[in-house]
Amino acid sequence: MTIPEATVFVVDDDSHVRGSLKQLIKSVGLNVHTFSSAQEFLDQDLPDTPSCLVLDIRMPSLSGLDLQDELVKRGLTTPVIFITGHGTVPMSVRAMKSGAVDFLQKPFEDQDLLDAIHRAIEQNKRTRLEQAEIGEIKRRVESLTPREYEVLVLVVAGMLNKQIAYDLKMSENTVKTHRAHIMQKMQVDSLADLVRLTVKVGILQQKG
Amino acid sequence: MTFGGSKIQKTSGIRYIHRLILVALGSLLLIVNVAGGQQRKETKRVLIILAGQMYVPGYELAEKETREALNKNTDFQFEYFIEYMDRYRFDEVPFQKKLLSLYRTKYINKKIDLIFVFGVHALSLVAAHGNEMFPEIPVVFNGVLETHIKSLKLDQRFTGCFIEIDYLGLLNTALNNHPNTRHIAIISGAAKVDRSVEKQARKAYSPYANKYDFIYLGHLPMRDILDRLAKLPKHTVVIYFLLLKDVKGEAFKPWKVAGFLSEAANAPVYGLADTYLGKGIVGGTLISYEAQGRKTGEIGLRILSGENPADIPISAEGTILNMFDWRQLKRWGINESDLPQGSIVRFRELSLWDQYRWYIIGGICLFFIQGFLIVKLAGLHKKGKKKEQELKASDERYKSFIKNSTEDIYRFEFERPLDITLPEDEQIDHFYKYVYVAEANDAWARSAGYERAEDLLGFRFEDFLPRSRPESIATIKKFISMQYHMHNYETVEVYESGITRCVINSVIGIIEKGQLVRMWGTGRDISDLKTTEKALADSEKQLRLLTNALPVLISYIDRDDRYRYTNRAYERWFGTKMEENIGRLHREVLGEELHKKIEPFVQRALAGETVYFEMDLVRDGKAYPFEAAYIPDVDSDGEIQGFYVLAQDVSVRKQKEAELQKTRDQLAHLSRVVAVGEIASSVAHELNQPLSAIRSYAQAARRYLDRNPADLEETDNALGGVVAASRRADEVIQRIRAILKKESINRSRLDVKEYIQEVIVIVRRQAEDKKILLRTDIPDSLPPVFGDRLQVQQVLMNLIINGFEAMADGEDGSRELVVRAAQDQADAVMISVQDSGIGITDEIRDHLFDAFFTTKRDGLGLGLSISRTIVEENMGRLWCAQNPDKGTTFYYTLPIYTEDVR
Repeated sequence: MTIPEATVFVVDDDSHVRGSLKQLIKSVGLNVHTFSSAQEFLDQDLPDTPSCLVLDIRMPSLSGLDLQDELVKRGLTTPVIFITGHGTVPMSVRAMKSGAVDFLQKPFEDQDLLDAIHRAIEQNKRTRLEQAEIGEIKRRVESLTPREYEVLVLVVAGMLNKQIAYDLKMSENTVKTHRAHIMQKMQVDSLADLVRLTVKVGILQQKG
Repeated sequence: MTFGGSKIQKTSGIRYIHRLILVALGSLLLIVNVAGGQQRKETKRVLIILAGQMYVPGYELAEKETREALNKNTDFQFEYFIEYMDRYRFDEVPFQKKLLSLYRTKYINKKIDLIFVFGVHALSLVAAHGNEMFPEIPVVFNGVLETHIKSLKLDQRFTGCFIEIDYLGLLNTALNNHPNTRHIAIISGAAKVDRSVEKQARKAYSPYANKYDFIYLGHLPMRDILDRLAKLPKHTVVIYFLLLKDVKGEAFKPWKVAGFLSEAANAPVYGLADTYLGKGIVGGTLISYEAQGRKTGEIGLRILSGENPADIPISAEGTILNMFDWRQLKRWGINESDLPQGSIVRFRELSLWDQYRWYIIGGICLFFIQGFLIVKLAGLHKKGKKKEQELKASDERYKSFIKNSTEDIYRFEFERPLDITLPEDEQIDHFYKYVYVAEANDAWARSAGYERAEDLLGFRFEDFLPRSRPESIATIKKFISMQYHMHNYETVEVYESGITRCVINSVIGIIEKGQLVRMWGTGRDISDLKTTEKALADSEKQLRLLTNALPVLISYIDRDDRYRYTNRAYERWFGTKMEENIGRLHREVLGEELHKKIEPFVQRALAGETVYFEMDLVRDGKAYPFEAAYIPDVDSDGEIQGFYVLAQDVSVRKQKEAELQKTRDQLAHLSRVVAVGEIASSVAHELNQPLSAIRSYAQAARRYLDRNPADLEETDNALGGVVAASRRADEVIQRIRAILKKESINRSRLDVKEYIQEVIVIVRRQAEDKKILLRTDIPDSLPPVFGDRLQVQQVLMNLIINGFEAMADGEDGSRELVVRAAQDQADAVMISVQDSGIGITDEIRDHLFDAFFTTKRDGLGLGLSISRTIVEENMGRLWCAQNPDKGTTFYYTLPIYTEDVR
């Protein structure tokens, strides 16, 4: 399986290791970018494509684990695969807890690394899709007027029009008009669909 | 208490009693006269105003003397009105006004003939308001200062006398009595008037400042003054002026202070006024309130007899007197004949009073049978005089004997008698507290380092039997245990003069009613004898002990080549005894062969040269290396009497040196192994990297080949990577092997940058693990150096790893280690390793290069010691220095390679 648009980033300070990984990853048709330090990687503008990061844990100044922490801090979702000369249990636990998808010990089987890379890219793709959907729902919610938003919150909380009218001190007819606009703007046909969307962006919790 | 004013050498005690009796009888007569003969004498009304309260000794004395002087006349009789203003205790203005109006009301209708005022407050009251209250009444004053008189602007009615302090007179009197005086303690308090008196004193004494040490104590609280007085140095006199208040503001009565000070002081106290006399001061050139009183009384009489007050000069004349306390003169060993002409000695009569008290009282009783009394008194008088003469003659003989004796003769007195039933410890305390030297002779003084017997008077036990010395206590204990009769007891005495003497003492204590009151004794100084004897014995003993303890062969050979002395080591080596050696010939003991070898050195030593040489001595067929010194013995005439031989077997030392070198070599190897061990994990990683790379390259190559069609270009690239990575793995293995291999030194031409880089490669991983930034700063243009590649790499690795460890506790991001190289001098390259670690203290730096010195928990303490040895073997130097900001930098140099360096 080839994923032409996907990119693999390799960060390792050892030029031999860097070179050999580049060759290996290229050999399965993936795009590869290599960096000799974590800082160099962080300074780079990353392309908006599915990607993953192959990271040497032990490097001078900023280590692989530090870089991973930095990514989390910046809200980047790029999955990380660690490679290490001689890893320790605490080190791997820490890496996994911070969201690493894999932890490989050098020297490793090429297939193990390549599998890990594919898994990571797949995961990244899913993440990216989810993020796109959530973005879309959020855009629709933002298009509501403040009054419509108030009504939406009560609707998805399961209240009847009568109750909403009483709560918001408006006529039942006005509530009905708002509901119609909401369904239209949120591009849904049923109350069930509306609830599904709002759950994804966490609107339900606002009432609770 | 003044039943005793007498001019010395003019008035004997007996005569004084006569006077007393006359006074007493006179008073009786007066009473009779007052009662019966008023018409015959004119009555004069006398108002006496005293500034203070009752019982202020100065005023009391003066007032009493004034009345006594008045009463001596035969023309008048007096009616006295006495007012105490109590001004010192009640000084508020409203009170003064009330007092004034009280006097006015009280005396408005009394015809007062004469007013006496005592003290400045009384004088100023009368001066300000007297004219309205007592118009035209003459006023006679005393007890005021000259400055007061000037400021008050007194009119014609006023006359009298003022108080003057004879600062220099007082000082000179004290110095006259104590010619050896070196220190003069001055006491005047902190009240305003106290301070002003001290100021005057300082001014008056300034010309003496370079001759005597003046100690001013007025700035101290009373308690401290007393403490200081108790610890005054020898040859001090104390001059006490006035102390109304101490520095803490506590108020005192100056005459009482005279008592405190005298009691506390270990030196004689001289005072300001006759009111202090009898309290414990020796005396001095004093303000005499008594004379002031007498003088004012006499002036009063002159006025009453018709003299104009304005014609009577105001002065202090005749009111400053040299007065002394007889008891104190005795205590401090002052001869009355040495006192200034016209001195008055008081308090001598106490014992005489005790002795004759009943005669005096009897005499008064017997007045009415006058005839009998006169006969009786005349008899007594003669008897007393004869006794006195006999005593005097005996006293002279005794004094002359003591003075000329060549042995110490002395008498101790007790300020408080000693209860001989007290426990020993308390008795010892008592001796130190209350016993003083009351009599001494020149023999003692001279042998104790003093000029005259008088210098010893007043000495305490502490002054020659210091309590801190066990011998002192032993002496006193002996004296007590011998029931206060001690014969020929050897005592060690220590004096402030610096003399320590050994004395054979015989002391007898005088016991009265179970109390020890006095001690007499004689002593013979045997110090000289003792010291010489002991010094000789001591020095010989010490010398013998020392020479026998030394592992050096020591002997003394005289100029006839014969032994005079050998020590134990010498005897052991040659297997002889000193007793056998003495007098034997040098060559006999050494043997002909050896003697021949040393002959030239002996000749040189006997010619006056100190000779050092090395020589093997053979014993049991084995040669021992020796170092020897011949030191000529030159006598006081410059002639050479012989020479000392000092010889030391250095075989052990030489052997030790060789062993040490071997150990050092072994340790150097060990340290290499340890260093490699320390970096073992780095090495593993080092190999793992290229291995991992090789595998990845190989697998990539296989994938390129599997492609359809096979990508041969990329396959070739990947295989190139395999070759490069495997070469690197090989390098790592070679390097470790080389370091572990023990080789003897093999110096060659080295490229500095290259050899440093090789080390950096090994330690780089460790730096990463420890989050240390490892940098190098090495110019390309450095000349090659000369050294053993492995050794200098080992040193560098050692320094770098030390640097890592120094930074172990530092913060992340702050850890940096820099390796630099630069041309140092024309012929050397300097390599430095700079860390940003905890640094080293000066204390540690001193030991840094010592073997087995370590600050690491599991360190061997060999790294730096061996490193330095290695650098020095490679003709370089190794040192370190503290960085200005933080951490330490180690430096070492290596010589620049030249063709001829080898």
